Amino acid sequence: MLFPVSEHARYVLFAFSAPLPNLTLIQSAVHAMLLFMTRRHPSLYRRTAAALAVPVMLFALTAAIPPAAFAHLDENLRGVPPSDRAEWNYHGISAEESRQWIEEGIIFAAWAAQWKGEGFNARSAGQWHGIANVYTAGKFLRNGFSPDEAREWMDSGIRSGERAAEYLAAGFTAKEAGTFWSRSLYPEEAKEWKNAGFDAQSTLEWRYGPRVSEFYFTKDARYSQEVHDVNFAKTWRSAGFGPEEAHRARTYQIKLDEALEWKQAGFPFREMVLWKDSGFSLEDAAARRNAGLSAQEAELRQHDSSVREDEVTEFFADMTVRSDGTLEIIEMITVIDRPGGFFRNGFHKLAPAQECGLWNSRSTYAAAGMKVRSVEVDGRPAAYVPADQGIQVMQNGAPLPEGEHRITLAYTTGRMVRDEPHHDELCFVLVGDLPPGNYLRSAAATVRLPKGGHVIFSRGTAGLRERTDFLTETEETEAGDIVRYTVTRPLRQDMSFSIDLGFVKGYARPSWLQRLDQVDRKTRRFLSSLFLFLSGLVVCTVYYVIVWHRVGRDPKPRGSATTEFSPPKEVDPPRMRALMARGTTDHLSAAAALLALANRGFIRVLESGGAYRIERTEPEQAPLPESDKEFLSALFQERSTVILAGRSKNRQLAHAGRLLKRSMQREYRRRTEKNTRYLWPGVGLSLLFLGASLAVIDTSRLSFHGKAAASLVAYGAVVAAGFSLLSLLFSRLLRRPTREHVDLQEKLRAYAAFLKQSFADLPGRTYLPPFLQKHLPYAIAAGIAVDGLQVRSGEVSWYQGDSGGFACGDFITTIKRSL
Amino acid sequence: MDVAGAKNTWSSRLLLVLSLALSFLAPFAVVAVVENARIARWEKYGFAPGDTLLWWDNGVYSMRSAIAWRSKGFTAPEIGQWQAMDIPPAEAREWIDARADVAAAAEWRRYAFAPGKAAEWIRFEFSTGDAIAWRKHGFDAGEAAAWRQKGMSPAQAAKARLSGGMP
Repeated sequence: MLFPVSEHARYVLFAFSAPLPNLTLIQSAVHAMLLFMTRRHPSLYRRTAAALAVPVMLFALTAAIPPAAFAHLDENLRGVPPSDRAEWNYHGISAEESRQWIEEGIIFAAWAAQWKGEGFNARSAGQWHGIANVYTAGKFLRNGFSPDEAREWMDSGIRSGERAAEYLAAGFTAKEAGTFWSRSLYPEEAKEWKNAGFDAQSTLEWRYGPRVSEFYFTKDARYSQEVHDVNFAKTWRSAGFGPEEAHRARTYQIKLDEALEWKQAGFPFREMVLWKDSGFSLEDAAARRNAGLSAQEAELRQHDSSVREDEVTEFFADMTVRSDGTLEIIEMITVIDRPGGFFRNGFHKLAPAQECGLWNSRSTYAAAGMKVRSVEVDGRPAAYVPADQGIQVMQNGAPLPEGEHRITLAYTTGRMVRDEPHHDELCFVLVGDLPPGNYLRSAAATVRLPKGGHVIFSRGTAGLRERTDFLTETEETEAGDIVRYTVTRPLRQDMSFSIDLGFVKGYARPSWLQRLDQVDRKTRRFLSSLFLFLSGLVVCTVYYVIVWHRVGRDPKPRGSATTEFSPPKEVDPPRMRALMARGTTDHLSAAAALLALANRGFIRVLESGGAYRIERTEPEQAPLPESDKEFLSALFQERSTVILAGRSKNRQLAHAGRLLKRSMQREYRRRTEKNTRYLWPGVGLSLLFLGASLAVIDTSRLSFHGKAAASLVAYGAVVAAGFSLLSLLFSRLLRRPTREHVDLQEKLRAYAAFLKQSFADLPGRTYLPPFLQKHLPYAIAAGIAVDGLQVRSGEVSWYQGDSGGFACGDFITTIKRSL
Repeated sequence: MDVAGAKNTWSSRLLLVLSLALSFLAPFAVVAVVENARIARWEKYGFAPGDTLLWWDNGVYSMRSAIAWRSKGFTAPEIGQWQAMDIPPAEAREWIDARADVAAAAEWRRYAFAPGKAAEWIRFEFSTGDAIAWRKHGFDAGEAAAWRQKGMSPAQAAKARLSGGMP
């Protein structure tokens, strides 16, 4: 019993206060109305009422189950009387003991039994039950905690007795343990870090680094996943570096010795990174710094004095975020194209990409498209042509000539704003990783946000990997916030510039098409691929259906009403079966073939003890058709007799059956048109869509190992299988019988109708009349049931047996088992 | 006309009574069985029957969800508004630790302030609007408070900081 009996009474009360009585009333009203309407036809009423009973009951059942049904009892549970005597007895608790439990506030027998099961007596349970539930209390008790100690550990956030015991064994107090546990540091690792002198907060900082994005992560979403061990933290800390510097050093691949050397030479960590990024050794950096130069100035001087390459002297992008999340961009680029430099074929611009550094992993999505609105070169309108992943700026029909040019490019992009749980985020790569021979002296960008979209953070990257060599400035205007990014160093090979701007959610809402596009880009154009695949299936199906309608349908029979009393000439039973049933050749074909041969005197059938012995006889009849000859010679290829016991497969018959099948299929194909020439365009279309649906998937920066490769291969296989199945299906549907075949089929059907009528007149189990004996093989071939028929012994020359007659059903079964 | 049917309407009446009785008994039995089974299952995870009903009463029908709330120190009657604002248990606890009620939490959250950060702004007596204005210039609460004490607006402070100034 889960509840004391008294609570069931409350269920009953609840049920009467629930919607059920109302339903019952409604039902009564419905029935009254029914009775009135059908008062002259009580049987009609009875039928209607019966029909209504089940749906009404189902409705009542579903209406009564909703969760609200559970919500009416809570108050009633308060102050309920203790379990009755019988229930305490049921749980093996005596009257005296039950009084103790009730005094301690544990009034239900089943509840008391649980406490007892966890090792408590009434008194100790009384001490614990206000602190924790029975199971939690039991675990603390078993791990040696008193009620007060357990309360202290639980107050510090550790509600598991085992966990508390582990922390205690590792030397933590409840309070200390609570600080580690609240940061999800387990006792073993917490002990290691504590012994190395780190408290809970610094453990987090050294072990995981700062939170990736504090703007929407809570404790539900943990710190970044890059984990550093305690030795790493100890060595860097003892060298005088902070956790952020140590983590950056690891990201920038700077060794501790090197960092220490620079530090001892008077270069703080950040300055060291700047000089190193500019390509200077410690000695060079020290000399130039002593000469009063900053890293940026020193680098520019060195660049100007070295061999000059192509360079962009100024790059400025003015970006406006529209209310739908698309961007309107004007880029002003001053380029110096020198002989033989990077821009060998004139200036070209790559299409923009969306890249976000989230969850400590950088996610890049396919380019969102670029719609060029205007191009100006040196103040005059210019043209452009699409180039590899971008555009090529043209002047007078040719790429830009060498020299210095000021290019103004206005374009729009697709939606570049990402929907994040608590904010919207614009992630945009303005300058991708620069290839060798490319130099960008200064870069800046201005981002205009829609009104109301207050800036939450303005981050990004500029410089080498993960560097943030840029400054930002935010301006509040009536039209919305404006954020200005200024890159503080020249950009060269492998350097990039991207912005990552968070702003208040809801001011750059995408349309459903844009949402779809965003999902498509996130899934590397998988949706587009799927769309192409499905469209391809539809297009190919439409093509095939049209073609089938025109050339694939079977010619209509001429509708001759003649009854055929004999099979058409040169159509033997297996051939009849194959022609009537789309090339089918089975045990019925083999049985019919054998009986046809027997009828014509080529074989004899001897039966003894349920086994059939087939003997070849000397032919006295007309020569056989080629396929029959083949069947016969295959049957008697090894021996001149074939014994069919019906218990296992007979090799000779099986071999002959296979040959017969092949021969019949050839015959069937000979009488059909393949229409292959109509199939090829469909196959071509399928291949085209197959290629397109695979080619559209964005595989850039995708590792072709592991899951990604396996998923791609699996998807490719599904797409290929889809198109293959369609083509295969229609290759069969496009095949149609020739006119000659259809005419023959018509005759065969007429003959089969005659057979069906003749054999249908025979009673279930009887001897076959002599005038139908020659039709027996054809009746079997036509699929007419002849199982109960027998040929009387002595009536046919080809049969001898000891069972009084040739049983058709038994013979067919034996053939089926022997094939 | 069916004369025999007119003579005997008792079967119809019996059917009516039976269907009415069944329409009550069948759902009642199903509800009782399902409810008992669920309560027994919850009990294994330390929920007393009364507590279980209280969780259900407050709209928490999933045991996993109830455990999540309970592990963050919430009782069933405390979770209603947090749930209504779609704030998960761990975050709700953080907001309570930050001394923000549901309405304040919803407001700070609307502008993407995490509980910990919001707590700092609240501690330095910034309203949500002020915090938004300072944050957009890249200030955290402590810095913003220092600049504000010098009588500077967020934009002025940002300019001063850019030119190397200190609060």
